[in-house]
Amino acid sequence: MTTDHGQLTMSPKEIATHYGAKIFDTPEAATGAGFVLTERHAPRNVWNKASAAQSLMLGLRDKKEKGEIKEIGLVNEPYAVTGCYLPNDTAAPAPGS
Amino acid sequence: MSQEGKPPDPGSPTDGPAEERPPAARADTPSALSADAEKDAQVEAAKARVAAAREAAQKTGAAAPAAPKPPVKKKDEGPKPVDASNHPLVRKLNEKLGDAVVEATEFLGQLSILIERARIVEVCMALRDDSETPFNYLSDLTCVHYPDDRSTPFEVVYNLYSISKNERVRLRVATNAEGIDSVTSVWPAADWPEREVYDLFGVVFHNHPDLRRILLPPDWEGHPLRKDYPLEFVENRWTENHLPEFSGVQHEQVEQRRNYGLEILSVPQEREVRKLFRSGKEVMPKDK
Repeated sequence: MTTDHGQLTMSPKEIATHYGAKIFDTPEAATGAGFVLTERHAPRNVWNKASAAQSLMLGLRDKKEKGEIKEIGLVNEPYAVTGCYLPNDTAAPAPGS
Repeated sequence: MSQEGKPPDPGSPTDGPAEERPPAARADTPSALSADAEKDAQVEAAKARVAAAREAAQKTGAAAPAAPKPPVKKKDEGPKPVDASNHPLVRKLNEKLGDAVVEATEFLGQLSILIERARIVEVCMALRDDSETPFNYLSDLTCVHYPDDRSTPFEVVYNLYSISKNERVRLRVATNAEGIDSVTSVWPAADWPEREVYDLFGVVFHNHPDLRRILLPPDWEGHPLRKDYPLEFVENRWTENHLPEFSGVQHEQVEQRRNYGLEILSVPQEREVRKLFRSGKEVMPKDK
């Protein structure tokens, strides 16, 4: 009967894994795999980096659930996180473009 | 090798500290030479004993397995919330309002009750007007965002206090952005906290007398305490429209601050800094 939301402190990598996103180390790796880059956040501490990663993941998750994109990803650099997605071939306009 | 059966030699190092030995033993005499030989013999004997002890230890180690290590004591997981369906207050609410209570838990003596969204005003009214424990003080009203819960991602939390009985209770209501009924009719003090929740989470409170943003500008986009809103400053339409342009002196100041690595975005009037951010240049030196 109790509710346990299980909220823990998660790293950007863990957040990306939680939302089923592919993780890349560099933007070049993501674009090489056919992913399109979206927003890039370069926060100045680890908590803001995790927050930025989660905001990117939630935005991309919504687009994926709507069927606008095929797959989501996260470029996790040492001092920045960038969202990326694999375009849906059937979808006409790509989001953020 | 061993000295068993030998009479004790006053010059032997085993006899005691050097200062207790007679001075003649330290001189370069035949007796001193024999002492050196004996010393060498003792060293050899000690080496043999060490080798024998090692060998014995290896034999016993191979024969008998090592003793098991004592189990590592697990860290206590700590207290967990327990079901509080039988709490007197919960029973009273169930009797009065039927199925308004969804679940009740107690954690470290703190009672927390999840209420049906449509019944919140009714429950608050009942708790306020209760004859035994009148919860006449709305201590706090806040909200939590659980983005993974797609149907009801927000939980509005009411912390109530009974001044006369010195008791507390926490009410929670799961909702989505469509919102819930305002409790300003029960406690007028809920006015500003509900505006704050609306401002920072985007939860709408129906029948609120003056529901508008309380902290952020009216034309601000987004709700900063949602999990999909990044913590760090992000350029948006409001900042473009409202923050002023720099003067020449301010340009120079920003450039100096940038060179010294002092630039922070909390300083007002930093349009130039935002331009630098947009162009992808580094403004702050990164942490090493």
